[in-house]
Amino acid sequence: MVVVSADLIRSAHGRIPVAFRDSPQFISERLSIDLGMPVVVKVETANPIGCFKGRGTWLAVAELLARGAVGERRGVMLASAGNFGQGVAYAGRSMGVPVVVFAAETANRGKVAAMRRLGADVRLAGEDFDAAREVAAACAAESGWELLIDGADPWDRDRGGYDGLRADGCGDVWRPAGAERDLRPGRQRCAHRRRARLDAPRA
Amino acid sequence: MTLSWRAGRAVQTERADTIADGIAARVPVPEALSLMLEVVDEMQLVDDPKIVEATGRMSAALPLSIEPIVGAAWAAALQQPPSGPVALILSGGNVAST
Repeated sequence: MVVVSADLIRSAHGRIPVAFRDSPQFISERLSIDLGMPVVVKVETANPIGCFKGRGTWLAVAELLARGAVGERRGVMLASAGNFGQGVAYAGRSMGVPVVVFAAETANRGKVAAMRRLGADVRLAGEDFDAAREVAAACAAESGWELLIDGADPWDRDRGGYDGLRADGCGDVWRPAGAERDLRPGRQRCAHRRRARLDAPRA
Repeated sequence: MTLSWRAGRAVQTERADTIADGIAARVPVPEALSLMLEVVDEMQLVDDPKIVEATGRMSAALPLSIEPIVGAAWAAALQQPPSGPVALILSGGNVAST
């Protein structure tokens, strides 16, 4: 696992859009009084997606693009309650990489709308976030698109099987030899498998 | 995640009902859990009424929109104040409902 060190952050700084860098921080007088000690607030909401997710998602999508794992016709799939999806959608739109987000049927409507405004293809699937996660994983396996998992390190996942999946075009359902057993449970749960056979990204 | 962190291994739950949608997870991500086992010193649980109250207090105190996930952190700080200065990360402000 890659531990996010100060050095790693410094090395990434220049690759992140200015809009997501150098977020402000200050001592809040009122919160300090409430708590009886100094409270510094670090403001991660003053950026195009209103949350802290913009940096990691940008680097993750840029990394996938740099090594040819994603492109115009093979994008990324992910599950999100809304903020992670906005970060990936922002990066995907900027880099010309299509983004499919699976959100729970109960997801915050404002966040769903925000992800769609950023160009993401948002599909409501499952009764909660973890159910949407399962659908995202199944559909990514079916379609050969890259699966991004919020909280997992996108640079250091075990890639066993994934390279095989990526060897095929995004429009087909392709199963690597020997991976049938691993994929089967996911396939059963993928209610969106037909829709996961994706055409070229929307303009 | 708190249950997992305390147990030192992934613990799934049946439900994760909370107004703080950004942390409503039944199934911990293993990579996140192992990192948290390394770097996190303490975790606290707060209930929804406390989250709502803390979110409201923060919204009144700051000229910024505050997601319940941030209110959850503030509620924890109020519930058991730490011994020294506090850094509070305003991790999200997406509260619009449309």
